[in-house]
Amino acid sequence: MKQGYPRLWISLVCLTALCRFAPSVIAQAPDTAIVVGDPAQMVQDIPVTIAGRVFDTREDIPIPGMVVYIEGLPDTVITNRLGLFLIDAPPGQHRLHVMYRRLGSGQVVVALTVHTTGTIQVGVPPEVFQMAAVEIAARANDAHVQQVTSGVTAIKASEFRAIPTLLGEMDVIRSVLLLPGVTNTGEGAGGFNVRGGRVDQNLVLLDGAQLYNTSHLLGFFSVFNPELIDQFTLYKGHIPARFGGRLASVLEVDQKEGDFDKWTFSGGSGLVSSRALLQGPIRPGKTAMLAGVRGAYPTWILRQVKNVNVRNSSAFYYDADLVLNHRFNDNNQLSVAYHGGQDRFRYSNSLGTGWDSHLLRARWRHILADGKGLSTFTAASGTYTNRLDDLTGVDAGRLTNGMQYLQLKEHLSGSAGTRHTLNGGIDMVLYRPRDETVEPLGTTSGRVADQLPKTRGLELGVYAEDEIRVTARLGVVLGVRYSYFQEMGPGDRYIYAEGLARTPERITDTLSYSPWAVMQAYGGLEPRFSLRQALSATQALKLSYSRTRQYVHLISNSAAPAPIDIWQMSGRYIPPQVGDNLSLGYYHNFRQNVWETVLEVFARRSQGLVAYKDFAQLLLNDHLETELLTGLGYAYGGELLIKRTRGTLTGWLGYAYTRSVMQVAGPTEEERINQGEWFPADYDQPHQLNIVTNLRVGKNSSLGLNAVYHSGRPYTPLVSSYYAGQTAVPDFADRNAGRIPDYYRLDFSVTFGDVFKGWKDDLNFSLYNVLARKNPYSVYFLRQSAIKLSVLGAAFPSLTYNVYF
Amino acid sequence: MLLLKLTSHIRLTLLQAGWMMILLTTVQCTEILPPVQDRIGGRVIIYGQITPSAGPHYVRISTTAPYARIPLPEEGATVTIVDDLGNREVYQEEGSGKYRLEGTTVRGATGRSYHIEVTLADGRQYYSEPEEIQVLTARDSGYFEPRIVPGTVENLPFVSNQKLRVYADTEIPAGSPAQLLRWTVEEVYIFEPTNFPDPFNSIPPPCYVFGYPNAQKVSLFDGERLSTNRIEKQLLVERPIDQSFRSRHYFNVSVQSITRRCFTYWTQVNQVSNLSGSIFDTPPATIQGNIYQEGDRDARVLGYFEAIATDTTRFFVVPGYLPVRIPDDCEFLFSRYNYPPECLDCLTLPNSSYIAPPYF
Repeated sequence: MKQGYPRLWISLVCLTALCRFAPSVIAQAPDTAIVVGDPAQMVQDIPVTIAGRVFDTREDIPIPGMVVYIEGLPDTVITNRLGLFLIDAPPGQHRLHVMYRRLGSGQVVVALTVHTTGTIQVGVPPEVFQMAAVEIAARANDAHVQQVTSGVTAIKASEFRAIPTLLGEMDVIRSVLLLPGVTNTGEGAGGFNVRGGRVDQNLVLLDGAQLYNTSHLLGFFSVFNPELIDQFTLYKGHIPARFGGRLASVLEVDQKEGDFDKWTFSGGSGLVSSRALLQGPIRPGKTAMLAGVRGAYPTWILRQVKNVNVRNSSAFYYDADLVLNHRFNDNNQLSVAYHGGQDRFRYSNSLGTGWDSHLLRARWRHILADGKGLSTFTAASGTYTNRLDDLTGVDAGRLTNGMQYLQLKEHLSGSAGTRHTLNGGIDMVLYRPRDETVEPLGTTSGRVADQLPKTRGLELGVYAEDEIRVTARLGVVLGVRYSYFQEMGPGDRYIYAEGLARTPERITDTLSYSPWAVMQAYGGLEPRFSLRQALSATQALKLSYSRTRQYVHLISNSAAPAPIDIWQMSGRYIPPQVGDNLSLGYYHNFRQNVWETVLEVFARRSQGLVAYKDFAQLLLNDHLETELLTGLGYAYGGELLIKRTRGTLTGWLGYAYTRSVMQVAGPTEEERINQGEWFPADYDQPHQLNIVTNLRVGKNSSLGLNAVYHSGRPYTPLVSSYYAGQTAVPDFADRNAGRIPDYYRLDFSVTFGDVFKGWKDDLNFSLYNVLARKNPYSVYFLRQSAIKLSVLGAAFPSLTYNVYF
Repeated sequence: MLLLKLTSHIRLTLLQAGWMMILLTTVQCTEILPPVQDRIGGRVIIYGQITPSAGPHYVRISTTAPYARIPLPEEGATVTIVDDLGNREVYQEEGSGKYRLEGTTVRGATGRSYHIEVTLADGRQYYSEPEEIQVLTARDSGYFEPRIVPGTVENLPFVSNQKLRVYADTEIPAGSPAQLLRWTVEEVYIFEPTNFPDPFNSIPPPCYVFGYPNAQKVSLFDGERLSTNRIEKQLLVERPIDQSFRSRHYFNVSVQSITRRCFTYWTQVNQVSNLSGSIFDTPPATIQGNIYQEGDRDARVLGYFEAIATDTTRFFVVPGYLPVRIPDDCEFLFSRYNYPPECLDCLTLPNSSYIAPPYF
């Protein structure tokens, strides 16, 4: 039975026409006068909007987080991550202040003569925004209290550079894992869980482009080259309307733009990995490029291990990045970037895994001619190919799968009057999962080559959001997003006998769909809301609610993402996941914002969570729905964060109590888990405590110490065993009825600056897992013995030399 | 030099120093939860099989006991086998939950299906879903290879590090129907007790010891998914070369044709019996076989009743085949006073008997 073809998505191609060119803005140096607009068109007493960009005069890079205000006017705005701001002012003479610290002495004051709307640029010398070595940099110190949204954490590169890391490799994901409410399975596990959410419920964006694999070498490293990272932002409370498609969080990673004025080089080399970054102007002031490469070579360490299987194993990965930025004029900038990576791991002569990725992204930023707003158009295309090699036996073969996608997004931001900051846009993602294939390996393999086509998906989103400054103390964000999803062919939809659990034997009919034919459609509104009520200049209460829908699911029946996991589209039998997030937070800064504190409680209700039948067969299964179940999930808890942002000793203490439970109660016994009762999710880890400290020693040296504790995750314990013939067969309790021991780790690092005279360099020594604790990764059973597996049972030292030219 | 540079810059305040000390001293906060115990037990276990061979065939019935305890045998049950022609035969109880089928009325035959009906002493009734004995055309040949640590053969090393591997080559005739195969390996060897001076001829005879090496790793072949007529050098067993190889040591390699459901059951047994704790592990769960409780199909019943066709090949290993020196743990020495128990009474070894198998 054939179905019709989709029509709706085709019209989205027209999105690319939204950007326009505009006359140049007025470039400006500090403490001088700027004229904005045309005097001939001036209308007295009608406020106009000024769009501005704040940049570093030394490197001509945007500075986010700067505080901007006009003397005598009520508004105070903060530059966004592109250094942009919008502020309203009536025509006339004004004094515009740009500062890094509200109470600090350094600031730039600009004399403004405002006639009509227009755009300006304000250069800020480095001495105005000198940053501490470790602090929440590049944003106002009290933004933590002032911003309306809750549960948002931004970390600058300078901050996560100072955190002690495994094998000396600075790592975005490992830094994220030190934030309260973020956990994972342990060393050797990819991904992360936010506030009791699943790994696939996190939307990870690299400069706006979606990432589908964030881990190298089974999770020991992330895919982000730390040399290229400018900052990352984790949204785990309020999720702005411009983001959609995931339930738990958004991790937005921003890369550097490249240096428009001079060539620079930075790099680091350690015992198992190295990285380098070259950036500079192709046309000074106009075009900049940035090229980064990173690789790991841990095989030589494996060669030192006594175990012959480990000695015969190998591993490596690399990432390569190229970014080109061109400024057509002061209003238009085009950025084109490529990110590629490869990962290979081979265990002895028995097993191999690997993946390849290619990500191409273009972004066009345009300041609207009337200065009322900013347009950002992003187009991205990604290709992921995963593989798993079984190298021995008659079934030796290679399994492959993957994901291809095309993403388009137009985002507009601007202001209306003095109280409204508006955001809106439209986005589209076209998913084309790669066919699952299997092919024989070796001449003695009995594998039969096979190929399983995967259905495609189209996700559309339209959103609008208004941040309203109701009063000086009360701020509200009102947003709404409408998302729509189509599952499309090629593929077969099986019809099952009514009233019975889905099994292959109960297929009564088959509907075949040709490529692009619509098989199923879903959609719905996603309201977003956030409210901030200031209690004083340093205290605020924040309440937020957001509904999100997720149409793609990582099919992974293991505790952590595995290299061959499948991204599956929502369809007739796999409905979208729908999440309702609610959080309430109390924010309080002390001692002129040196100390930040947050106490936040949260709850999330998730519908349509994918669960797995016992012994689910997920690979090369063309009736996957017979192995899957759907259920209801609740995650709830509280977080406490105490952070010291400036001074000799900086860092934070974060504690989170998080519970994550789910219920799968289908109409028949086959469609229930644990008899339909609530049970802890695989990633339920109630207690988490992180202490991150950095002690500055002298000008360029520092000491770092981390302490990480979290509860063990659930597992399914053995309760008895019996013999079937001569084979002992274990019998297990209800799913996730037990809990593995808790996890504790202490890390230490010391960084020496200025190692060689005249060079800008540093030498970092890290000791990961100082106490050499054999932290549990999992508990499993051999016959009747419970065995605790520790991935890292020793302290791991590392030495890394970093240099900057 | 670097250290000097560092220490010259350290300016810890008392607060900062205290902070560091707290971190260093509050580190041991782990908790190991006690193992989860099935305090009730009581899940019924029924396992048995029928083959085309003469028999006898057995069914064992027991119930699970709490964690780490042997299942409790179910005595006084009534077990009946029924074939697809309606023939019925009742098993004879041997004790300890073991029931024997003589095969006077119902005998295994390829292409016929069988199920059992069980009534426990307390009246609970169970049944198995019918299983058909599948065609078995595969023929295999077993053989062995010693796996010696390189460089030590010349010195005839002590055997502790040396292994013996048992392989099978299997041929599936062209044109045969797709088959689902399982292999089992049984070993039988003679164990000689210590040869003390024995003027009164009171030393017991040697024992014949039966073993099932690698019973936890069941070898399976899915002929519906894999396309080959020859399976070469399939590793079935790897076991240490020990005293059991001091005399003739037999290996009986059986290849069996099983149903899809039985294949799934043993695949799942393999999955939960060979976990490694890695991300590739299948999440463990109770395995559902083909046995159900009458009137409550959702009740968990453990075990399987399988109807299989089987073909067995046999080979033996003698010490001369092995390039290692095999020590005699039971060797008599005048200066020796302590001997392992099995050197004095070999019936202390599990599955041992004075009765020789017919092929010895």
